[in-house]
Amino acid sequence: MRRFRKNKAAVAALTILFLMVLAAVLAPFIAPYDPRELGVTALQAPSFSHYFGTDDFGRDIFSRALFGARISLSVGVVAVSISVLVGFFFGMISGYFGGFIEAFIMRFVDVMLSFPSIFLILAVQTMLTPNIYNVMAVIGLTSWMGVSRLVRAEVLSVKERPYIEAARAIGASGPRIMLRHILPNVTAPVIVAGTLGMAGAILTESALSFLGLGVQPPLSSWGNMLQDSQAYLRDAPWMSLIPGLLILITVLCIYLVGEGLREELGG
Amino acid sequence: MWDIILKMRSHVFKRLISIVPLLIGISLISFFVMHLAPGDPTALFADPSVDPGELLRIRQNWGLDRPVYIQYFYWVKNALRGDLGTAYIVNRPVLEVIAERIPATLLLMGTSLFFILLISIPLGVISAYKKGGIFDNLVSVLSFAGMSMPSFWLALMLMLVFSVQLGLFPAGGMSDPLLAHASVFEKSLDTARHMALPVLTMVIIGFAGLTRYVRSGTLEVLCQNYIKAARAKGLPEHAVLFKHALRNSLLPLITILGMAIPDLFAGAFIIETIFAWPGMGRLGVGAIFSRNYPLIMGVVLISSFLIIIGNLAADLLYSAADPRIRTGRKD
Amino acid sequence: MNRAKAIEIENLKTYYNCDSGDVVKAVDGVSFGIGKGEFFALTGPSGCGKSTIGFSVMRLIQKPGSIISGKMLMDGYDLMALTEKEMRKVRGARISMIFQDPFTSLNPVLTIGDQVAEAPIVHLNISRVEALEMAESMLKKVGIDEPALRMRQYPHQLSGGQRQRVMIAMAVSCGAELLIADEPTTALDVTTQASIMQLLEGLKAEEGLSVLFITHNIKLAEKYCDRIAVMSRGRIIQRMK
Repeated sequence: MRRFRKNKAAVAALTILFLMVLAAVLAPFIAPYDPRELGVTALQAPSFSHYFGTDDFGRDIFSRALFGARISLSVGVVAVSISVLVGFFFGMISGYFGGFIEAFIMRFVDVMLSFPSIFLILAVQTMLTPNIYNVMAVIGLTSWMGVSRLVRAEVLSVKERPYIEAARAIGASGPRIMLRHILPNVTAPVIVAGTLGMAGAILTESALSFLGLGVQPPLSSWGNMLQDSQAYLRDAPWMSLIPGLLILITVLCIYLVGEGLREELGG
Repeated sequence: MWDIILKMRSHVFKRLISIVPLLIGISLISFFVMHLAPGDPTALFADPSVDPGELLRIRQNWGLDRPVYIQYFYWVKNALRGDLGTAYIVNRPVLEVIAERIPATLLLMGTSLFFILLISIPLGVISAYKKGGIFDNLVSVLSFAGMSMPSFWLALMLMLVFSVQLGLFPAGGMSDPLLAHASVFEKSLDTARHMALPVLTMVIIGFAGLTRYVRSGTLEVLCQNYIKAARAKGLPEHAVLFKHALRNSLLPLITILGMAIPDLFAGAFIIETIFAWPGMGRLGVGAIFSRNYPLIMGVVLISSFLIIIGNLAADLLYSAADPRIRTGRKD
Repeated sequence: MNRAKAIEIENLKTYYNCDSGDVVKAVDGVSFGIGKGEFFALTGPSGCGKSTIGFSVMRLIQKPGSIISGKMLMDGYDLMALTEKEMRKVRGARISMIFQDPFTSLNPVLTIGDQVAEAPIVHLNISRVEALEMAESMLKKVGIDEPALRMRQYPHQLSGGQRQRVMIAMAVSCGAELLIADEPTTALDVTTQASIMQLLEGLKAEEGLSVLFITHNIKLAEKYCDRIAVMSRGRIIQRMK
């Protein structure tokens, strides 16, 4: 991990992310207030008793932000995992089997890429009842295309190599070959793509929640915190500023770590 | 110009053919998504609260008494005639309602794209030329920041600063109703003022990706042998950079633009909503909230169609611009 | 061997400062002279520094490398003492360079005519129209068929041998005295190799062109060159005639 360590920005970003994850995990223990507790003092600016101030219902924004971190980060991780799994699957089988299957899947990828993803997600969410689980699923199912292309390219390049012929000659089975030889080569670019995907997933979830079609109250996601804050833009700007800044910092750190990984893994 | 097009006849033809499977694909998926909607299928094509005579016509027109796969063909048949159903409440054909709004969206997207290119190309080229320098690092930092912002948040912040605090730009809409009878010039200026914040938001979010592509493309080009050869001829640096390097690094940019179009569209949806810009995006999001199913599906279909056309245009433009494709292989 | 010298290199040292802190002494104290109308070969295994000498003479060494010391005397001037602006007047006009792979040395999106006309426009202060006419006659001179057609074509439409001829045309278009040829025939097949070498010999006879011939192919060097210097690890270890 030498090159990664030399990239100071990436190391700093990783540290911040780690602290954020830690804070999210420990949220129930370190939150000074119950995030759902309605308080008497609404729309208070940040102060020593309320680090991020209070919202229109008097709820402590800092506590809500901590729990919001849990939501946003977990959506990011799960959605990206889904997209990587699906992408890997499609990439693998299209690369390995070739022919009609490959052509069909690649056309399917092109079609999926022709949709404005946000709107498609919104449309689907309208048909279903929005909750955190189908947010994760829908985001994951609409962002696997990049990974599938990567994996397919890797499979195609490995397929031609002589040691694959050799492995087949001694009777190794198809899937076994795929996993043993292709997996190691594919891991690096997929990890890098995964970090980009996670950043995107967090941004998408926040947009969905902002519009009311993502994580539903009383669960607080950074996105739906921004939805409430719109009406109080002039009077309580911190309500809008803080959740957005948190998203920005998280996504930025993920991108920086991704850059560092890319330099390290040569992807 | 025409002789280029004539020479590329077969190439253009092949490309046009290739979008047919795409169109079939998006229609299938749109159809599938539509049928996720709960309730009576007639609700997908018109407001079910209309009179019974209308209901019967709808059932026949869309084949709702037939099996699902037959319904798909009815739907395609109607779509090709331009009939995408009737929107609720306004009770007007979906295609008509959407078509009214497309120009506003295209205006927003086009202007944003123009400014994004205006910024990205110089920034990317100079960053590459002076790789590792202060400029490069600064641009890098700004790019990362731009990419990491949630677009709706940036929109709110800009609104806060420029509209609420400074009162410089209007917070929403496309035109001032008081200027309904003003001159063309005044109206244009007014539209520009209304466009300022939405465009600024899209540009800040969008310039980052393109700048990084231009930078990496230019870096690749600058290592090439023909750049060394150009310097070995004693050409001044500006000729090396602009005549030799730029043309080569801008070619892949055309392809990247094609890939950036879906993102621009996606951005437009949210930004139009926040700034109340009367385009297709706002229409679509409004349809989402009012569960206006025919309109929702119409927007999905039309925006995908526009994205496909945009990609096709970028592809053809690239083919015309790259001499290697334009003139074909060795003769 | 007291003919007039085209160029005299004295104690050239070009070092590279790597990220890791190591210093690579690519060229470590090399001296030689090339007479007018002489083919001088620089040969040796890959990595011995011969290509670096070529770039050093053109002063095209970029970071992290730099020419530490040495003199390069041409017509009494030391090339090392020239400013960058002055050096640019030398490149392409008095000293030219051709490279190993003619395909990647030509800009794929510009026409042949455009590229051959560039150097004359910059160095000879003539109009674009005149430069294009000159380019066409240069193409003819180096033995390219249908020069008028080729002027309007793009590099990918020519064969490897033709492209190398184009490079040579570009190199001598402004009357250069010294041509630095960095592995000019390595990427070509044997027949084409021979015809390119013949072209160079023709130019030697007609124009008195001197060539610094950089190659790893000793046989080729022995066949065509007047003198040979063998390099290893940045130094000349053997000289032959």
